[in-house]
Amino acid sequence: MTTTDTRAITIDADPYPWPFDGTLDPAHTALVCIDWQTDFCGPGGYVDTMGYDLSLTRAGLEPTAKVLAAVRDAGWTVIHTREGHRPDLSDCPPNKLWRSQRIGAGIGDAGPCGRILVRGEPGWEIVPEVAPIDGELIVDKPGKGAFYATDLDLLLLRNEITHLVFTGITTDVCVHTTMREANDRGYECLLLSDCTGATDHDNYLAALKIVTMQGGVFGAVATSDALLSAIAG
Amino acid sequence: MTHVADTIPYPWPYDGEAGLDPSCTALVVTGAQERWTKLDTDGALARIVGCADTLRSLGVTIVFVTHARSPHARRPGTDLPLATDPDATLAVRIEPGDLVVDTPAHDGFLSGRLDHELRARGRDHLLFAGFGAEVLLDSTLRSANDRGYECLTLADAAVPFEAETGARALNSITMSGGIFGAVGTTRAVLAAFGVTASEEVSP
Repeated sequence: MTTTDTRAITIDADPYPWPFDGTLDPAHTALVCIDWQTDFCGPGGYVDTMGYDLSLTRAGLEPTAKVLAAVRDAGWTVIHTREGHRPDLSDCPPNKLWRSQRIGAGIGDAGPCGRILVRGEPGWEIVPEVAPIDGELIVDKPGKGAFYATDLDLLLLRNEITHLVFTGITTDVCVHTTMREANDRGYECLLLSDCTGATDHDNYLAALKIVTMQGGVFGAVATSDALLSAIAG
Repeated sequence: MTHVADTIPYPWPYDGEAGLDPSCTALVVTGAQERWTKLDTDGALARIVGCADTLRSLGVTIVFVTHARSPHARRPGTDLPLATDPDATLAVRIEPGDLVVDTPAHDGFLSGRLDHELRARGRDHLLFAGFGAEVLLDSTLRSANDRGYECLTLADAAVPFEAETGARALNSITMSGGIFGAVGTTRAVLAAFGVTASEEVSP
């Protein structure tokens, strides 16, 4: 009758078997998918407009889709985040707007996927490979971190979620910022190394390493295979 | 002067002459505590103190963020000292008008007082220096940036735990046109405020 699997299960992770408290419990664990939006990994979006190599930010899509299917079957909570601004940009800091314009991808400017980084536009939508399904939580955020100026902390508390597994883009920016925020708030965090990517491969590698420094300063890192085999038991 | 010289990837600050003003600027120094100042191998602590002394004399607010975990924290973190540990102690002398803000975490903004004190003083341009460049400084910088502060990280006064990850963390700041602001040097900041090398307060 119980939906909570109470067997002691850990995931083979670096630098310690995750989670630290020894049991992966679907009732208290969420998969957090960060900003899998066309603006960050699709043709014509914000990252594409800036001229970065989309294959780097798209690399994690396929493994993330597999993880999503597995954790949905296992009964985990699934949370998706989206970065974007109100259509009138009243929630966009002026320096953020200025920098985006200076690099030729102005927030709110018209592009092939609609207005860049604006809520409700085609480029702001999550790509179909890892799109939310009914019942999953979606958090809209104006910044890089998913805790700032959102209700994420409240949603986690209310749903008794204490453990977070991260996928998403980009590794060194929105994923890292959110994982740092979560870790500072006492959530036990795991980043799936093949389910994330950055606009620069060396920055991606460094971001993974920084998580694991000093015994796991921001949590731990594992592959999606390690997670899938732990779930499969 | 309208900008700090040679900042990457854009001339800092974004608002030029209006923003290059000691009365709207704070220097935020992370992790200048006994645990981490021992990481200093090339005089960075002296550079930070010297820069702070000069900036203070110009009217820039100096903020020291001290990081120490609660003994009640559920996850037994290994990297932050307990507030009661001797090596959690601030390793620099504070002067009248300086702010010392305690955080139970890496991010200096977590407990809220830092944001409140900066806003109360009208300081929306932040210079970042300190220890744990890719951890303590970077977490605090990210939160400042999301809150709209215009941030410049001082590469020669940002001491990483490891050289390679520190360098990559600085590089990440400069991606996408300055995703977390810009990167510059202490000397260039002081010059932009009209201080010549001979006028700097020597460490």
